[in-house]
Amino acid sequence: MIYFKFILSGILLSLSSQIYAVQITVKDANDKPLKNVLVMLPGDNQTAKPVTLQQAKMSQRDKQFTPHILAVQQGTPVVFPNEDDIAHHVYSFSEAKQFEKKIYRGDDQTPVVFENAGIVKLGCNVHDWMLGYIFVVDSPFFALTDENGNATLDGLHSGVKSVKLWHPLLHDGEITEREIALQEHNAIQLETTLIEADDFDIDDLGTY
Amino acid sequence: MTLSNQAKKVFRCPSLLLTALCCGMSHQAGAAFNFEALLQLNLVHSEGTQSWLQRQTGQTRYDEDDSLELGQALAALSYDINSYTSLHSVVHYQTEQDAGFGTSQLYLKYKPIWSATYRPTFKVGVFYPEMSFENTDMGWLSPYTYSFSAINSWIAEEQRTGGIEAKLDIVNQGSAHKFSVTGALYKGNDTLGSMLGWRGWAIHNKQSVLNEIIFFDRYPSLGPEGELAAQAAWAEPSREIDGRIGFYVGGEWNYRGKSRLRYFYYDNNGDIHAPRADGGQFAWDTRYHSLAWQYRFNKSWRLIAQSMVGNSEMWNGKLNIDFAAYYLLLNYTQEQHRVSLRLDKFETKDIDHISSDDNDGHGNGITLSYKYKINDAWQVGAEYLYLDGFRASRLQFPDQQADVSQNQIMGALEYRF
Repeated sequence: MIYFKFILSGILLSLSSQIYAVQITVKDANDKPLKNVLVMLPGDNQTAKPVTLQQAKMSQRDKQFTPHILAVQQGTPVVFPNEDDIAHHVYSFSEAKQFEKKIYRGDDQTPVVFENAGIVKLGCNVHDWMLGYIFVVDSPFFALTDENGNATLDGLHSGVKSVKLWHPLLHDGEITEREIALQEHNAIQLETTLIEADDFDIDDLGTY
Repeated sequence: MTLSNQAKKVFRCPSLLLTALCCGMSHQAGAAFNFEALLQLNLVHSEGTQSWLQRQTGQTRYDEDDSLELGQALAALSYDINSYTSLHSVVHYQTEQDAGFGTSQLYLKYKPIWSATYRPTFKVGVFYPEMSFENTDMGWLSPYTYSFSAINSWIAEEQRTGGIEAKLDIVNQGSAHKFSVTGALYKGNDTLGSMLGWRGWAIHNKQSVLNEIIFFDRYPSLGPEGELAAQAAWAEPSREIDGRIGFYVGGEWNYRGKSRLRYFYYDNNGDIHAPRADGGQFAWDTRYHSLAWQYRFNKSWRLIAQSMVGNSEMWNGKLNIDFAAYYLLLNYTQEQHRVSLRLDKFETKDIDHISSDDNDGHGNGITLSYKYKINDAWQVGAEYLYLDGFRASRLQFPDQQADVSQNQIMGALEYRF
């Protein structure tokens, strides 16, 4: 078990009429940036950010879900294009959304709408190792950290807010909360366990 | 009553009918129909002795000469009947022994979505048991070496599940550990053990097809003056002789895809007291344990190992052998390059009381293979196979030695479409 420390640093990026954009950096104890960590703020008490529910995409490429983690706002339609030359059969038994969809070669443009907030675990009935996540957020204020561990949230009022963090391998997949002051630089340290998985499930030499 | 040869050939290839059916449906069905084919030409130099395929005592596929051979010609077909049910078939064209088209696998697969954690799969028809980690390429070929391990060479020629199999995968999504359990009931496979009994273990890549007859050398113990004269000098792997149902059970523990361990117990439940069947065949009672392991050190290096230990008995115990085989396979894959080294070790131990039919044997094999993938269609490669095999049964022929070393050097050109 490796213990990582998560450091969140919020950097005040801009201010105009008390509306702020905050960049949050997620790093482990060795200063290694962590990507794909979902950072969320509750929608209450914030600016009325226009709701733009653009269609999102969860592809299947090289027998993997791409992206591995997709974050969308409640009510967003998601398409599941199959970029492989074999069929996939995507399904979810998660409480937030239960569905299944056989997808042959090529694009499938019929979207699935994710109405309920929560974590949706995706599987494939053809390729048992395939695993993907769609996190349906009940707020417009969310972002996934990039390769450099950065996530930017904008349209925020000043004040102390509770920020929620989630990653499937962080805190056993449970959401964790920390408080950050949105007007100031923030440095929040979390201690948790994280097992970094080597991805050996994809086997180019055949699976059976 | 036996089928005429022609009728057998037609029955051997129900997949041709499936092919025609699927081709006809493919216009409407679109992507639900899947067709893959593979042709492999081998340029071979071989030393040692002539193959069992020439009714001699050799334990490799190719003979003591230089030749151009059709190594593989096969097509894998599948058709999705609905989202959960699919029809699968593998059709071969073969040039050896009783040549022609044939079907090695033909089955219906039903994989419902019942739960994210418990994922069942059912198969009905004729198919391979999923015991090893070696034969994972299309049509049950090996992605590693051209010749299969001794264990899987034997399964390729003598064993198929003709029945029903149920498998349950237990997957806690996101967990590091996955498990599966498998069980099957089947008929056929009643002559299983014949090849080990007389020819012994072999290293090759010839898969038998439905209702194929596999001929081996005419050992004097099976001849008119022999103690086992009622037994023909061939095996019929698809035959059902005793009317009894065989079974196997197995399980796998998969840790992150990095380490996969699989155990199977197989018992064809043969009745060794069943009377001789037409064509000089008997029911064999064959039981074995198979333990297979795959370990991936990283994305490039992997180790595959398998052991098989069992016993086979026929005709009131007139032939009774303990058998065992093991292999270790090390593979390195980097982009288009694939290098594999496999070490095989095998033996059969005669524990019956018929001294004129000694089935003792043991041996080792070294297989070194290189494959280069030019593109998705073309692949070239080469393989060196050394097999040192002791067969007491060779001593039934006055001009033969029990111990024979064989070398087989092969270049391969493969085309997939």
